[in-house]
Amino acid sequence: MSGSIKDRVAIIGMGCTRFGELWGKGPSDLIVEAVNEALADAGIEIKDIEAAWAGSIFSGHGGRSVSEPLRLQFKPVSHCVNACASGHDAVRNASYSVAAGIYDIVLAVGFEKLKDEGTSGLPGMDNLTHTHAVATMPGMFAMMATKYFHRYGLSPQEGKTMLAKISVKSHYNGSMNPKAHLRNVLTVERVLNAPIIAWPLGLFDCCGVSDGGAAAIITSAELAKKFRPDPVYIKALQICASPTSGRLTTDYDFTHVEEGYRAGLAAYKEAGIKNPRKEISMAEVHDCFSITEAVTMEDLQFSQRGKVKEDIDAGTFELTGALPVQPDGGLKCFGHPIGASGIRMLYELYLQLQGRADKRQIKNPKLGLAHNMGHEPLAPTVSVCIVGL
Amino acid sequence: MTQPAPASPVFWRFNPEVFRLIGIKCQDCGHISYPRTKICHECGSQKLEEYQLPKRGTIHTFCVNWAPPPTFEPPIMPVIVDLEGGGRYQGLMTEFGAPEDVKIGAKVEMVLRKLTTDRGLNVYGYKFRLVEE
Repeated sequence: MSGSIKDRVAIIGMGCTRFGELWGKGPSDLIVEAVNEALADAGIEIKDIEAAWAGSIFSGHGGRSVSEPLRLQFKPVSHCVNACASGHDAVRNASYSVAAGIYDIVLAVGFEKLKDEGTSGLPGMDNLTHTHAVATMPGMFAMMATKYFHRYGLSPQEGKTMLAKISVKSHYNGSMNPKAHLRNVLTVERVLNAPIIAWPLGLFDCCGVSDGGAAAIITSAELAKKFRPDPVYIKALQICASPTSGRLTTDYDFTHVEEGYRAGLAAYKEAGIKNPRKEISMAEVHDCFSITEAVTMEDLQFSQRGKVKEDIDAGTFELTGALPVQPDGGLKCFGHPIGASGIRMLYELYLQLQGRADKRQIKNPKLGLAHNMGHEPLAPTVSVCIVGL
Repeated sequence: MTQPAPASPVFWRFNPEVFRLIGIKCQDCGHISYPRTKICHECGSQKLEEYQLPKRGTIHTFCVNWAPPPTFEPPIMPVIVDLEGGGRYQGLMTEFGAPEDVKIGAKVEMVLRKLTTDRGLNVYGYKFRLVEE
């Protein structure tokens, strides 16, 4: 196997809805809104789309979920269901179809209408059928925090303060983003005093429950500059699906995510990156819970194992730091409408690379990384996408 | 992704695993796995035999969940337990005094308890309680 997607396809248009509790909008509204923005951005029309890939878990029901609202006329549409990596997987499959020379212009669209599910948190995560813990997602990630604090000798107060700084940083960024759901600026004190959801995680350590949609128009590297002078090229698209080793073996220690580490390794290899901390300009990672972001910094080799606290304390991941993380506010401010999240992350990297991120603009970024982690720490599916100019 | 009804065949099918604690042991490399797999996680062998797990283990990690799944009264204390001799079980603590008594590395044993009530039927399963060392 020697193939690589690096610089073979490019994103020429993107769109993203405002995220939030969008009671008056359904999945079709989110799709049409996101795709309209992407089409206008690329300077093309719906009829120019040759094929489409949808990313969604709860709101999608096959390719028709997208062809129907867009009135796509008898085109091929596939539906990617791959946990929280569904949006990235839609981009991945769409990109591969262009790289294979099958199509010139394709659409990847992610969407989720979580507020139609009638649950708090994510629906259907409480099955008792097997040997899964009677644990919610906050519960599973709280167990990761407990273990991380224990292994690296952090008192609960030290550990919770480390996590609080992650939320404070992301909310500061999100406060400057008109498309974010939660735009409140926080203080460490407020995060620490928030109600406990699953100890040690409090309210602001957990992402919200939001609706949203995001879309990308993808073409070949050869055609890209016919559409715009500043297309954003795909450098790497990797997905690592867990063999669920964390459930089966006592080796897995709950303080890292092996699948995240390996997806990162594969993506760095594909993109030709030797020193991720120096070469990656910015990252949008899966901060479903603050502990997830902390551990992800280590899995992606931005921080040394057990040392992420030093980088958080030093402000490394803040907007003005050496490696800004969640410049748009992340899942903390956008919630996690599952199929939409991965493409929403790419939307921010795309704007940043083109110098269109307004008050959040990072100085002269070259490479951006987007990361999604599906399921729970014991058995995740992780995607890593790298894009650049 | 909805919860199967308590009378679903899935509960009958998982009976040996969930209630009798039958895991697998690889005849080639000796790896013990729980839950069961069809193919050895360590070596890929398909020569696997049933293996009776002990009802004892050590707490690997835990949390105190104040927003538990529907039908559970908060707080619940989910734990990941490394079973003696191999395998891992995810479950709930029971019969603990103060949450502070539950610690990583503490020894626990399994006891059969009612987990919840679903559509008028009781759902049973194992919980863990602390054992004196």
